[in-house]
Amino acid sequence: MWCKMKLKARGVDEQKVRDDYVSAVSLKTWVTADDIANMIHFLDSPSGMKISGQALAVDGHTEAIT
Amino acid sequence: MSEKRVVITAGAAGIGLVIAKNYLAEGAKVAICDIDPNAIQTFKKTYPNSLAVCANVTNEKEMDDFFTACDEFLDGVDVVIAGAGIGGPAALIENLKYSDWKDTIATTLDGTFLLVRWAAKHMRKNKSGLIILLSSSAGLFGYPYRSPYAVAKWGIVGLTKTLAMEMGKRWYSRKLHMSWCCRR
Repeated sequence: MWCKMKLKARGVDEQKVRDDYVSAVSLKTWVTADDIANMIHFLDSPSGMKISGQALAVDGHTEAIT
Repeated sequence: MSEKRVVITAGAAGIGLVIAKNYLAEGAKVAICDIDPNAIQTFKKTYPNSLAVCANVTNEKEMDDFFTACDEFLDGVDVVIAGAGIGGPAALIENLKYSDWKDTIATTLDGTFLLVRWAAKHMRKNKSGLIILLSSSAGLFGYPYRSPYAVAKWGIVGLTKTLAMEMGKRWYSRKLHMSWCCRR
């Protein structure tokens, strides 16, 4: 849905928008819901006990917003 | 995560649903709300031992009713995850409708406020808790064509920082926010 809205605003096709996202990510990958859930699992574990008030990006490292 | 009491907004679909499934798989007691009645019905059928309520996170009455149900079902809360948000319009700012702007801000920020306000009372009393607020790369960068979304997600970061200070001084707890970039 996200891409469909953006392509409408830009007048470009969905695959182009997806490719733009991935091209702007250092790891060149599409981040999934599982990736986010995995981070929550880490934060809600003894290993994450001293992480507080942080903006933690699970994004493959964003180099630019396209 | 067994025995944990978890509340997730927008928990019947997308990222919220994946998070709910993970907690359920590990034995947690989970309560969710979602604006989509069909997704709520599906969730109820799939996870009959969970609480699933159809509610709009910008409607204080509906959320109060949800929280009352959570109080009865969970008798407290250990983890809350603010998953509700909308992408809002995709357009240059001069072409945005004021109603779209307000809807985008309200769903992300007002909905998160209502959830956190309820959770904070429990967590302050219990001297324990985990709050996770979902933001976005739009909350860390400027985001062309998505100005209301970017503003709302930057607001989430501000709330995260403030909560950590308001609540962390009282007890050892974790107030967190996560960012995610690529969306489908």
